[in-house]
Amino acid sequence: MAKVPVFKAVNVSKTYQLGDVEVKALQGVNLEIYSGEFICIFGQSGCGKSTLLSIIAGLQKPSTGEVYVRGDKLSTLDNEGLAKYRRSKIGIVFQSFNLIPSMNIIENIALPLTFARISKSQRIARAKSLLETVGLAKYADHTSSQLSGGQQQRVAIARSLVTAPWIMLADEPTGNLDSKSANEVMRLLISLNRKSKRTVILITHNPEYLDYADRIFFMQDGKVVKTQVNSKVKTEEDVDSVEHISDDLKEVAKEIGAVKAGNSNADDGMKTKTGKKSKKKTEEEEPETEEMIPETNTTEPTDTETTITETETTTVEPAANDAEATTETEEPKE
Amino acid sequence: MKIIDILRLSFGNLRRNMLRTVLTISGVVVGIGAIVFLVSLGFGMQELAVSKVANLDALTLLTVNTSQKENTLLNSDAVTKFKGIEGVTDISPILSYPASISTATDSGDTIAYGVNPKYLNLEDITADYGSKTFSSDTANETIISIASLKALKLTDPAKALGQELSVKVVKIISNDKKEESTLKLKIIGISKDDATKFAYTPIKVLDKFQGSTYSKVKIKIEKRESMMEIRKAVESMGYPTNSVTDTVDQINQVFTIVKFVLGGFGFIALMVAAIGIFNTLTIALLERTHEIGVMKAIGGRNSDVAFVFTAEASMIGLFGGLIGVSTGWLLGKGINLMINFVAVSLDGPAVSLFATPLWFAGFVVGFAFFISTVAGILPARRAAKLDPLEALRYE
Repeated sequence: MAKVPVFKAVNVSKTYQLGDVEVKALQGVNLEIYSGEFICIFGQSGCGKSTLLSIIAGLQKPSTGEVYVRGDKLSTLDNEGLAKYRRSKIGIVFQSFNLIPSMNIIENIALPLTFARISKSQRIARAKSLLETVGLAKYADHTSSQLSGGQQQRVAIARSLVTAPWIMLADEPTGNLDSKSANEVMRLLISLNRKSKRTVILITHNPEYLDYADRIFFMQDGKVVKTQVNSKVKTEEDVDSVEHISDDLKEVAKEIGAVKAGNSNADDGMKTKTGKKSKKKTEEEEPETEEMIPETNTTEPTDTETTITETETTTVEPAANDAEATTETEEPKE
Repeated sequence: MKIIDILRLSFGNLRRNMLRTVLTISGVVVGIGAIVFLVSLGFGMQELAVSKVANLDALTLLTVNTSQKENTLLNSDAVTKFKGIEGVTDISPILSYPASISTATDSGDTIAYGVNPKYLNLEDITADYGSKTFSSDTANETIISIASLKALKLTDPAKALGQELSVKVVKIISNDKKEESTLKLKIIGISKDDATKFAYTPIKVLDKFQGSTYSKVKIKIEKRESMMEIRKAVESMGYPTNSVTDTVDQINQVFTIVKFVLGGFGFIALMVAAIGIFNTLTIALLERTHEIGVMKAIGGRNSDVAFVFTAEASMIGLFGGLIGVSTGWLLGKGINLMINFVAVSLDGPAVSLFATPLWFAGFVVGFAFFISTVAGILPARRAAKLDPLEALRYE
């Protein structure tokens, strides 16, 4: 069957005017990303990878070229349409977490549902279940400043998942984190891809993460200079049972553990749950990872996107969980 | 976003910077308080002035005067015609004749008025000494002014009360023809008016001549609103009329201007407050630029952002309006109490210098809400138009 790519960039260029200087952030980028892929966009600072991500996220428009989302032109959407697209179709995770400091954690996670006009009780329930999924249930009433960086990023991931989007965009999500927190965040992203079949696009300049990607786009000077298919990492076809996923993630966790052994001095003192763990406790984190997966299992989609709707409709509230359903709820009011 | 969520978010934002919110609201309180205080003074003085001119009864009273025209005599036929007009509750004709009054020793002159005792209170006289009312429709009694009693050397009310006067009334029919009738009237009430000569008596006592015509007819109407209509009806019959409402209307006109001028001072203060709101929101916009970027990046609509800002301005206006109205009202009340305390301790009548009608209080709250919302529109539009990516990068 002919697959429609989730994203297709055709000859995308972006030029900034900085005073008299013309900065060519992107120069004719062509790429296709398919459903369920874990994509890494790799490159040095200033190579245009963040610009590419923000164009994909509809946060800015390309100077020339076109981005297709599931075959539809992104440029046809107006501001309202773009807001809905960001709200229901994609989840974005930033390097700087971008939680709103005046709101508590639960309100932060529920905010996209607030925009989607979901009732308070429904969105709080949904946010709580996601907060459990990222293992921070007891911080619901805290504000973001009371959490460590890693915890904040996990909250940000929970927020990006709250409308059950099928695409995750992560812009250097581990850039501000110590290695331990970074690994937790990576584990979350990988499980979202392997287990929930979400398309994950990860922007990074850390080569250690490349092994987890199905495909890697190498960028330089605003161009995709090389595309590499990663044969070592299991693809979606291999992941067809829960047991397999667990094994797979154990492996992933081990690999992450190996990475961590190299530089684990940068533990964040603020973390109450994991911050005090030392190197020798690294092994204990593996079961924690496993524990997190079945939890995720109850609230997150497991198979195809059709299942997203079904699973979530039965487990949590019907309207808030599925991107399409969300769209329907807000339609009459708009 | 749902309205309730917009309000929650806005309220949370206001609470976040409590000091600034309180200061901004204070600006509105001062403006609205000034408007309410000053305009209440206008209302109070207006009520005071109107009540000096006319009691409430007088506002539903139409006076019909005699006319020079043919067939427009103010007689019993005319009274019957007036009774037929819709909205007329009662009619009080008034007779008046020049009269000479005398005691056993002295004599003088006055004007004798005959009124229906029921409507004595509609006349502009009060008995300061003795009885204010006649004992019956046919009692041979009079309420007389000090001015009339001067010639009789009866200026001491204690001595005059209870005295019997001989009153000779004269009806002039033509230049050389007149009718006379003498009445014996007992002084039961005395007005301390020493400028106008009058002696009131029940109309049945004074009505001694054939085919008498009244000097005036007072028409009591049911509702104040129907005054214009009834007045037109009476005037279309050929009778000139006048009413206290004429004077009251003039007073009201003057005070409308006074209130606008007073309110204008308060309005200036409110404008300053509106600029304060504008300023507060502009600063909030800068502070929250990054946050607005985040909201847009995770799916907030431009309109959501705009509504949150507008709602903050509206809330400031609403709170400021409510507190301002209460403050202005309390201030007026306080001054009223103080004046009345002084007045009562000096044996003067209690007066209300400040009056705040409920509709005015409601209107001012609405006005504060409106002005503040308008002040919030521009910052809200700027917030809505922020480029999401630039806002995200803003720190």
